[in-house]
Amino acid sequence: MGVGYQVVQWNKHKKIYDGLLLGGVVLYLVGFIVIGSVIFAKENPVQVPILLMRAFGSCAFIMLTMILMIGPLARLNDKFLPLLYNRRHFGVLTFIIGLLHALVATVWYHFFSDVNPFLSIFTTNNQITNLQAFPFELFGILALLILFVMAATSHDFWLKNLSAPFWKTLHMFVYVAYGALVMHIALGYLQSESSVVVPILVAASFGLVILLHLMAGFKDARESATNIKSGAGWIAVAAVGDIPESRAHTVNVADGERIAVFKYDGKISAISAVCAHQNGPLDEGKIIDGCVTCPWHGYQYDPANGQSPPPYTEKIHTYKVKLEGDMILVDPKPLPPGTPVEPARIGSE
Amino acid sequence: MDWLSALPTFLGIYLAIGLVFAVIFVTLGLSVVDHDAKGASVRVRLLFLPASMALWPILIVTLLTRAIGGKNQ
Amino acid sequence: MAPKDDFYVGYGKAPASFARFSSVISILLLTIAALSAIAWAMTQDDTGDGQWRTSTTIELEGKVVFEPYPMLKTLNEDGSIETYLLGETDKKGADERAAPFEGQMVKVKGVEIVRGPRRILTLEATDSPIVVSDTPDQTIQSNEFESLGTFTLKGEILDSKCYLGVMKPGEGKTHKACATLCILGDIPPLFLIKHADDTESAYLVTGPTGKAIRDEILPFVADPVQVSGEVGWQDDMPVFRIDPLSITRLAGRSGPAQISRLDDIDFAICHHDDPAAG
Repeated sequence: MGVGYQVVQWNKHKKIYDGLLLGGVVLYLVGFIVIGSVIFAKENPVQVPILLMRAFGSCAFIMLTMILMIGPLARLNDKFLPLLYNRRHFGVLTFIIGLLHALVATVWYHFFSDVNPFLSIFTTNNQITNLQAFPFELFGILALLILFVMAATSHDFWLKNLSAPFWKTLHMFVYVAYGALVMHIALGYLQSESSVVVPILVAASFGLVILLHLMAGFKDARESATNIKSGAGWIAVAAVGDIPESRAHTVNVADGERIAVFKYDGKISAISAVCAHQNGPLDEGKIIDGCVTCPWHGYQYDPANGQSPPPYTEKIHTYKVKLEGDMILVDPKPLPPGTPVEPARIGSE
Repeated sequence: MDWLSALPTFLGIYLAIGLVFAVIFVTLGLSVVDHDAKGASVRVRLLFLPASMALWPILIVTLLTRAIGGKNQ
Repeated sequence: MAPKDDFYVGYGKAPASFARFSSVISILLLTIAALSAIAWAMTQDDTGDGQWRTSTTIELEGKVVFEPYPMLKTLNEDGSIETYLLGETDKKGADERAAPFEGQMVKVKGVEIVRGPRRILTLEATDSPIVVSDTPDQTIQSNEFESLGTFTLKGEILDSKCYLGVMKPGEGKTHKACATLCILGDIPPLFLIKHADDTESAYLVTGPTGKAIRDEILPFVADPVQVSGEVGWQDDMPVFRIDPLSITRLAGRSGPAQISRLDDIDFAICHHDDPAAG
């Protein structure tokens, strides 16, 4: 990053975000426990440790559902970007709540016998060949382990030093975690309790996550359809008037990264549309203070050379660009990251 | 030992080695891997401990690669 | 006038349109969270009227028997026998500490766990919760096993201690591991039957000849199963002498018991404990 590492780089938005997050979690947990034991409780209510277990567990599931909706929602409507900005804090908190669930469950169900409790959660129910009797604990442990690794590596230090592609792959395992969580609930709680409400809630959550991903996926596919190849030589991509001031036109490349063609201060530059930080869509960014600004976390790049302003050290590909009258032409062959390219000047031809 | 019992045993050994490695790594190895981590605070080093514990094999490879790469320069 | 080109950057000031939208979405998400909490918490099943009377240690006088699990036979005022299963405070049976007193009249201190007519006493965690009593051993005479015939029953094998009140709920899939640990530790197993009228019966599970059974039932603990065996009475305790080879898992939840004999026998079995039923 080019700057010394801090635990969190706080700003007002992150504080509000985290405040709402914590407030929401506390509201959920207190509400669940009060409802489950006092108001609307059954005549013989669930005992406190099990109620706690269920409060933490259900909370973590709903949190993960919400987290997984943020990505596709932001792709469908950029007004959701503030939710995406601090999503990693949401994720870390989800892991913590999940961990609390696991600890209460392990102590309550697996302590006080001759068997080591941390061995017991894996081995006591060993009916792995039968779906109905299947040890649902294993699915929970899998989900927790994945969320642990994700939470542990959520800092930019790991993004940089594990290499962005590896880090990204690691964090894609969130989908495995979610699937495992659904199985954990299905083969555990849903098998034990008779109400249809929770199965519907879980199915609706899962369904909604899938639906949103499909919608975002289709939108992306539609918008990325292209015949342009990177070795094509100069191609006309847009007229100057088509691009809003300080914004970009997207050029999809079949065998390479998307290109963002920016119009700013009477100039045209073409850079990679893929942010070096977490692959955010720079083509949906805006020029602020002379720099292309990524809509996801605000990383910036000088459009003339694809470099982040000092002290930052990120670099992205740049592309040759020229004007023929009103028409912008781009050479879709990427230049090495950080290569300065003279911007095309509007009105000079 | 059936594989269901082998899982937690393996996990326990893996994390135990990880913990030992992680403590050494966050104390001495951070700046070897990333120049920008030089002078990182204690809080930051603690923050990096869990991932170091979880991913110690990868970090060992990274450290070795840097060491070998350094020798070849 | 040019339309506003609002752009959100996390470390700056959010444009009004983004701030408004975020406020609305935040309220929406918090509302969904609250409603989910209510819906989930409200719809949990009732956990039954088992009571774990931890606040009092009681002392009981009775005879220790081991047929097939450590039990205490006490006498009611009307001379009928009331059976208490015996256990320890953790997930262990009372076999070790009760063994020296087999067949003797004793005074036992412990905590009572009661659900309907079934009771279990967990021995006090002191050094000697059981002491020999002066009352002659012949005061209490246990009856022979009184068979009602062979039946095929649908229900759930679980551990007596958790089901009777230590866990709420102490049955079902989420409790399977704990129940297995308890039975592994020699807590006496019960067979739980849920009747069509929402009442429940819990029969003591033994092997086919009435002896203790454990390892053969372990894989099936807390699963909905169908089991065949001899059903009968041992004093006030309904006993199910199962054929372990007959245990079959059922798809779905166990549902009301179906007896392969006449319904009036079922009535007699489940309501025998009820004094009103006679």
